[in-house]
Amino acid sequence: MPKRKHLIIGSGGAALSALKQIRKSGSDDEVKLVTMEDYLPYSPMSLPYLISGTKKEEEIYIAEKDFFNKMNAVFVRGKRVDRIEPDHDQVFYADGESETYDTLLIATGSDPKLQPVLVSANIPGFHIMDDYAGLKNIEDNSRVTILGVGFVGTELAVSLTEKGHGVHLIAPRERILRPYFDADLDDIVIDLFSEKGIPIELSWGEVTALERPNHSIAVTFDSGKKITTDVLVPAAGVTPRISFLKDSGLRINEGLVVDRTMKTSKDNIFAAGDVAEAPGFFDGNNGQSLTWPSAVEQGRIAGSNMAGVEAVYDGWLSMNAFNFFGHFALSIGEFGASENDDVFIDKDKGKKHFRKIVCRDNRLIGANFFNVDVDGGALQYLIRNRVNIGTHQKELLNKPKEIGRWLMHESEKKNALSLEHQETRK
Amino acid sequence: MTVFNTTIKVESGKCPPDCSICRETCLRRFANASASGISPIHLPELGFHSAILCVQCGEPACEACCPTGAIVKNPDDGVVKINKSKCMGCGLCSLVCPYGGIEYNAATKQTIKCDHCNGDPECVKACPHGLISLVENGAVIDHFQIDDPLVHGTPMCAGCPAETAHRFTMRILGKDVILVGAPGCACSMILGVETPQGICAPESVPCHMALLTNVASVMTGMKRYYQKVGRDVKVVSFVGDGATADIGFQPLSGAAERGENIIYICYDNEAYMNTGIQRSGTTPMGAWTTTTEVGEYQQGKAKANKYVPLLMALHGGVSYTATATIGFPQDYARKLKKAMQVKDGMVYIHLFSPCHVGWRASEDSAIEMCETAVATNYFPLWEAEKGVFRITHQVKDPKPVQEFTKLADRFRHLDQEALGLLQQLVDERMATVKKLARPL
Repeated sequence: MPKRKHLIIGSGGAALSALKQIRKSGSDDEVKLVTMEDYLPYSPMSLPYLISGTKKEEEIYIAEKDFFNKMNAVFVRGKRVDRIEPDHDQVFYADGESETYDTLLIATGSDPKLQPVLVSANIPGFHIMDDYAGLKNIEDNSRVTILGVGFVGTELAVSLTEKGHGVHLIAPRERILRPYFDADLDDIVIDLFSEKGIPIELSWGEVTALERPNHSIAVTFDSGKKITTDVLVPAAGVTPRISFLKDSGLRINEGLVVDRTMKTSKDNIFAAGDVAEAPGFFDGNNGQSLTWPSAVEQGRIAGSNMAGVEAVYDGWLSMNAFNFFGHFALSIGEFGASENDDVFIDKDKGKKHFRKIVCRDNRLIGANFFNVDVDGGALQYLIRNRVNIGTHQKELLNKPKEIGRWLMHESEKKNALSLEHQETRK
Repeated sequence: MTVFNTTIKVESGKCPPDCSICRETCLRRFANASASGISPIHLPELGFHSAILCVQCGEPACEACCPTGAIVKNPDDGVVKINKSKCMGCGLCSLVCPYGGIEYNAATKQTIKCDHCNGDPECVKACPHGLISLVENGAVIDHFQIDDPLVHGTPMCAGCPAETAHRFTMRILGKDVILVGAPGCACSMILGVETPQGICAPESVPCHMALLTNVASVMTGMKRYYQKVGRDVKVVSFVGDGATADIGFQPLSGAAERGENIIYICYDNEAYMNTGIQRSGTTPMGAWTTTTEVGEYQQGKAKANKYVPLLMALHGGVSYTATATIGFPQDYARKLKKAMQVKDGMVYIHLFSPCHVGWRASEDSAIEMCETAVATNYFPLWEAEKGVFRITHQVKDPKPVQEFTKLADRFRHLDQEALGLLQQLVDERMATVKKLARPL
């Protein structure tokens, strides 16, 4: 078979995982990665660690230069895609160049969600290395206001506070950290942050006006509330980076709609990671996962199929962990329980910890833990393998780490020895 | 291709309650650690006590998902390590590892996993109960030369280790092999069962079926032909104990004495299994077969068996003799590798191959029986190179032979006296092998 050319747009978790899988599948086809940023591959997850100084820039790059040599792939950075023409298998770049491909993987990730007021005032989010570059040199003891109390917002707030800045967190609505955590966690988080001197304000609504008096920024919200700050960082979620696809004819909902092989509506175009809208684990309905592990797994599936080795995606599972000031919160799977589900909850009055698991037909489907010793990986195993946990729900709630690992262990043993074999043993 | 690497094995569920010596030892090793590479699980309410640690996965999820590329699986030794200078302590790895292999301390943001202590794990040495061991598989893969030349599936009974052993053998022997079979269970792998062919596809594994009486003679003819035309072809048999110890023994002994350069592999399931479990020359003393029944006049086979590997080793023309079992794949792989080097004289390999059907054992017990046969010295692993004997797997504290016999109902009728006689035979044979073997 003649060699084919796989073009990958992006260099994040999905893109790198696809490249590795193409090679693991035994393909020696031509592979080229093109990314708009002028940096070696990194994860946006590491940016708050750069702000706090826990890590230096050179320590966070996932792949060094020789990685692409080893993978026999071409890596082009600082090159932005302007549009693609799927009917001609062609990609057009912003610099006027263009090239053709045999298969294309769109792994462009996401952009921060920005309201028009912020866009016209030229206020960036906090999602890429350039955003970090803008924030790392702000003056000492600055007043920083972060819009949005999600993962990025809280992580960034902690990092900036550690650097000595005065940080304000503002939530547009009455809930924070939606939709990953149980509402009870909101109060706990708000208390913990205020103890550390980081106020969290709720229900301030959207930004309606923005002025810049005397090097500061004055922001007005539709609730009528106002704040004046030195630095404003919008961190209210992300949205798939698909603007260059608007005339492509590819099927787009919120993101690029893909099937279980990560294929878009065009046969030789794949998508993976934040840009994709892939089938979910429980219902198979397309949706956005927006987590790093999902991007890696989707990239793996896409890469395999691009190389001609059939692979099918199991579906994404909502999974988030959150560590603030040494307090650990974990959310996995579904926990907006339906009527027939069994829900087990345990929380203490002092709101120091809580536990919640949701089971359907004796299978774990979701879990939420705060300040409890828990093994998220084992819980994910139980959900993904639909392990029958029988009558052990209560025990799992009380000792999630040990019981979770034990159930995993028993299930692995069963996989190795089929049930009939165990019966002959008895 | 699957790659096997060394891994630390914990005898699951056998730990005593409240013991955490492995964890304490591990914590000491990682200075100032708030997490350790091994975690005991104690669940007294379920009666489950064990320990859990990284299994050094072939394709680790933690490596794939690390957002700074801090986790890397070393392609040489297979150990998955965390590069501390790159780890930012986000704990994502612990969320994607299904096997409890990574410990994350949220308070200190420390992530720790087992790194095999650079090849000499402290927990293995520290466990006072001997439940943790380092299982070396690394060397096995070095001997794998080619992808599996056999087609998928098996015509053998479910749970039969002969097929596993056969595939393993063919992968190590590599190309330029011609395989010789004889009537017996394994011939179904060559001829197929109600199918045009077995799992030895002619285009990848050329085969020939000999008769029970003439395997070694046929091999001799083939080998001499290839020698005559100047081709280095390995002529290899995979035939049973009946064709070897009984019906085909005369030609085998003749070929051995003449020093024909063939690789004769006998898979020994200790009876004529394919025809209905009749006794053979290698059926052990006391064992039930359909011709050594258990009743008023007879309690299984009355006589001790023929110790064929030793007989073969004492033939002047045999350059290399070995005993092996698929329960010790690394040992078997080394022996096959040595066998391939022999260009002068014969190779004889005696492969212990339990038959759960004829032995009346559980169908998932083949590997356990292989391991126990070695652990009890019922089937010692040794080799002889041109008269120099060597024990290749030393058993420190041999288990009583009952540990082996209790796994198969063909021995169920044995009373203490009969077991004593069998134990005596095992001990005597082991003593003979030890006398022959040079100290390691």
